[in-house]
Amino acid sequence: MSAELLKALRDVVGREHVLHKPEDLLVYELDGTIDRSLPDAVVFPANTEEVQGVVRACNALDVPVTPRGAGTGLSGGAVPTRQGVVLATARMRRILDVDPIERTATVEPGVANIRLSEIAAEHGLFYAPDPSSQKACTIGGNVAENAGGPHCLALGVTTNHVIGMEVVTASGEVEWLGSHGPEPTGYDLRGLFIGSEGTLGIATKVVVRLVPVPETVVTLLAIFDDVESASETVSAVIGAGLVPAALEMMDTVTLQAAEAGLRCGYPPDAGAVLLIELDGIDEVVRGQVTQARAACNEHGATEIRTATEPAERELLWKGRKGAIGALGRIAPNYYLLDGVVPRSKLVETMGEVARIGEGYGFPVANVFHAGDGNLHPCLLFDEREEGATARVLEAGAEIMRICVDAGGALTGEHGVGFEKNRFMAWLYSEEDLENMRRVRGIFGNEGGFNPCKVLPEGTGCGEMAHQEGALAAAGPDAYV
Amino acid sequence: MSEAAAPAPPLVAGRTPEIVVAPASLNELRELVAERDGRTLVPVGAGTQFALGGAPREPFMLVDVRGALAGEVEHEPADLTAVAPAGVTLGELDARLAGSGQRLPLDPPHAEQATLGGVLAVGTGGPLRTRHGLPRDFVLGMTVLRADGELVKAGGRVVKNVTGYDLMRLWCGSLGTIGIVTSVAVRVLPRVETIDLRFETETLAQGQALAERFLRADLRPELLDLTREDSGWVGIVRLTEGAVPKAESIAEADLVPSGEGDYLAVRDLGFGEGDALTVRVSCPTSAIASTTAAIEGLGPSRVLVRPLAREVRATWGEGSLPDADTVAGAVGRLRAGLAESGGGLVAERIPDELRGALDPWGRPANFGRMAAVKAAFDPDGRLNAGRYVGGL
Repeated sequence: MSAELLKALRDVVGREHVLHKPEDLLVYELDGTIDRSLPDAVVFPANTEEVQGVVRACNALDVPVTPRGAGTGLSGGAVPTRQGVVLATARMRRILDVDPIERTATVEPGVANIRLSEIAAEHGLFYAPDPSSQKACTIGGNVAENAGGPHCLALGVTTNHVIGMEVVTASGEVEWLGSHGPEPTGYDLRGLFIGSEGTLGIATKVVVRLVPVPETVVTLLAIFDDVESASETVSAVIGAGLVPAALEMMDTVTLQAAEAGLRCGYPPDAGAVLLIELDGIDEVVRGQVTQARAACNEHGATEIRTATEPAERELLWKGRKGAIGALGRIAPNYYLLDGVVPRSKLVETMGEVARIGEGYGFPVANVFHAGDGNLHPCLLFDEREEGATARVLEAGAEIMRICVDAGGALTGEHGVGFEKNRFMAWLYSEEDLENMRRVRGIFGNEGGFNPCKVLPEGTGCGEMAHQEGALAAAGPDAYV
Repeated sequence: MSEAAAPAPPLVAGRTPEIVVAPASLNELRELVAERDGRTLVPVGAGTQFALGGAPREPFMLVDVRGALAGEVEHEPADLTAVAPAGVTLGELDARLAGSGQRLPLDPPHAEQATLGGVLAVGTGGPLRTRHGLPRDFVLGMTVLRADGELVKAGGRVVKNVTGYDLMRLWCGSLGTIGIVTSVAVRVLPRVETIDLRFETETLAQGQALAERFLRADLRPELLDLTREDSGWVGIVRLTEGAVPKAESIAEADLVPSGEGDYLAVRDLGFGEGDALTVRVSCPTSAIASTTAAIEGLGPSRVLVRPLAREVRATWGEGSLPDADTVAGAVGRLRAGLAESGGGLVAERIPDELRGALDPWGRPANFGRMAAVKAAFDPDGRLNAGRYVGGL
C-alpha cells in the first residue's frame, strides 16, 4: 500500500482506526463464502463525514473501496476482490432515534439486526426481516443485500421495511434516499439502492419501519415420511388461503444432523419436517391452526407438535436455526447455495439437486423457505480431498442452472456478489445487463466501488473461485 | 397502425398533441419509439390519471398503448404469481385471478378501468395500501421498452428474488419517463372474506386514535379511511370477520355495516368528473392534523385522511377553487414543512387557471440524482418529457 494512501486514511479516521499490517488484515479477506482476497487496508470510520472522507480519499487515489458490515454475507459481497480499502462500519453502532408514534427507528449501519427488535420491544413493536444471522449481521449489510429471512413470507424483505437512508454515494456525496417516514416525491432511489450489494454507496443512517408484535403466535412442527408429502402440505396450506408468517422445511440429511447435534426429538426415520408459524389475533389464529393441522394430517403427517409460548416455540425452531451448524457433524466443509424456483417446482427441483449431488459424490442437505420456493441446498465435502473445492463449485453451478431452467432465480436473499455474477447471463440478455450497468453511473461508480460484484466483469477480477485452497470460509458459523 | 379518428384530441395539461396514435402491436410500438422523429412521446393507458403531471414538451405525440400491450394473463395459482401484459386492466386481471380465489390487492382510483402498466407507472395506491402497500410492493419482474426502442427486463417471476439491481422499484412511479412498461410479473394473494364497517367520530384525532388502536390490537385492517363530513368525521374500515368482535370492543364508536358506495367513494375521491383540483400529501403521523387543518383552510369540497398510510387527499370542485396566490402560498408552506421529514405533496389534478401557480410535484432535495436517472435511461428526453418532477 502506498504511503500516500495510508496517510490519507489516517488523516480522515485517525491512526488507530486504520489496519494495514498483513496479520491484522487476514480477518477481512473473506465473508461467509468461499472466495477470499486480502485488502491493503481496513478503515473504521466513526460517522458520515469520515465515511465520505475515506471514499473521497480512495477515489482521488484511484483505490477500490469495499464496504463491510459484519462479514456474514454469503455471496462474497464484502470480499475486496481488487484489494484496496475495506470500509468497515463496526464503529457506527448508535441508535439515533426510536419513535413509537411514527413506528420508526433511525440507526447507524453497524447496528446488528436483532438490536432493532430489542429496542422496539418496549414499545410493543419489532423489526420484521430476520435473516438467520440476525444476531451478528448489520442493518447496513441488510440494506446492501436486501436481506430476507424465515419470517419474510408474510411481511416482506428489507426493501419493504427500510423507508429511507442517508448514504455516501460511490462518488463521495452525502444524500438522503427515501425519508423518515412518509413517501417522498420522485423516482424511488431508495428502492434502487436497497439490494445493490454495496456497489452504489454506503448507507450511513438507516430508517426502518417497526410493526406491532402479533397478539398470538402459534408454531406447528409437522413430521413427514418424505419431502413430497411435506411439499404437498405446503401447497395445501397455500391453497387454503393461508399466508403463514413462516413456512420452512428441512430434509432427512439435515434432520439427522440436527438430531445428532441438537437433540430436537426428531424420529430417526423422519423424511422431512415442516415448520408453520401463524400469527394474528387469537380468534383468527385458532381457525388457521385448525386448517393448517388438517392440511398436515391429510398429507400424511406422522406427528404434529404445537407451541404457543415463546420458550416452547423457540424449542421447535431450535433444529431449524441450528441446522447449518449441525451439518459440521457430517462433513468438515459445506457449500451453502441459495436459489429460487416457483413453489410448484420444489419437489422436482429437489430431485434434480439430489441427482447432481450424487453425480459428484457430495451428500446434499436441504433447509429451505418452502413458502417462497427459496432453496438452500448444502453440499457436504472435505476440502482436503484433491480437487474437491473445484468440484463442489461446479456442482453448485449446475444446481444454479437447474433453478434458472425451472423458471427461477439465482438468489433469493444472499445476493449475486462475486459468487454468481458470471451466471447472470443465464437470466438476462446483454442488453438487460448493460441496462443494469447504467445504474452505477447514476451514483458515480466508475468501476472502483466494490468492484467485480453483481454484474459479470470482463478482466481484472481474477479467478478467485478456482484458486487452490481458497476454501475454509464456510465454517459452522455460516447462516441461512 | 391506425390514427385514432377522435373528433378532438384530448389535452395533456392544457396542451394539444400534434398527433394521436394507437399502435396495434408491441412491434409497432417499438418501431414508433425507435423512430426518433423529434416529437415527445406521451404514453397513455386508460387515462384514469391523465391529469397528473406538467405539460409535455412540444411537439408531442399521444400514444395509446393499450392495443400494443394487450394479451393473455398467465396465472400460476400454486405459485401465487401472475404474468400480465401491461395493457390489461386491473378489472380484467382481477376477474382472472378471482377464478382461482386470488387477488392483486391494488385499488387506485377507477381501478377497474386502469391498466396495470399505468397503475405501476403512476405508482399510487388506494385504500388497500393501508394493509398491502404500494403497487411497487407486488412487482416481481418487469419488461420495459426503453426510449431507444430496446426491450429490457429486470427481476423474474418468483416471489423472492434479489438477482441483479431492483430496477422495478425505479420504474414504478416513474410516470413512463424512463421506459414504457410492457409486461409485469406480480405476486398475488388469496382472496379473503371481509366486511366493510362504518363509524363516526367527532374529531379527526378520535378517528386517528381508533386507527392506532386497531393497528396495535393486531386487527390488521385491510383499509381504514376517514372523510370529513359536516358533522365530523366518517370512517370506513375493512376487517376479516373474525376480527369484528374485538374491533367492536375497542372502537369506542358504533361500527355499523357500510353502505355499498362508501368504499368506492373513498377510493375514487378526487377523481370524479367535477373534481378540478386534487392534492395528495404524504406526511408523518405527527403532522397529519396540522396538514389537514391547513388544507381545510382552503375550503376543499372533500377531505380524506388515510391515517395508517400517512396520507391526506383533498379535492376542490370548479365552484370552490381557492385563488391562485392562496393555493400557491399554502402549498409552498406545506412543502417547506415536509422538506425536513421527507414527505411530499403532489397536485394530482390542476385546473388550467391554476396551472401557472402550482408545480404539480415540488422539487426534491436530491433532484440532481433524479436528473441523472433520466439521463441514464432517456438521454434525449423523449419519453413524457416535461411531465415529471422538475420537468424531467
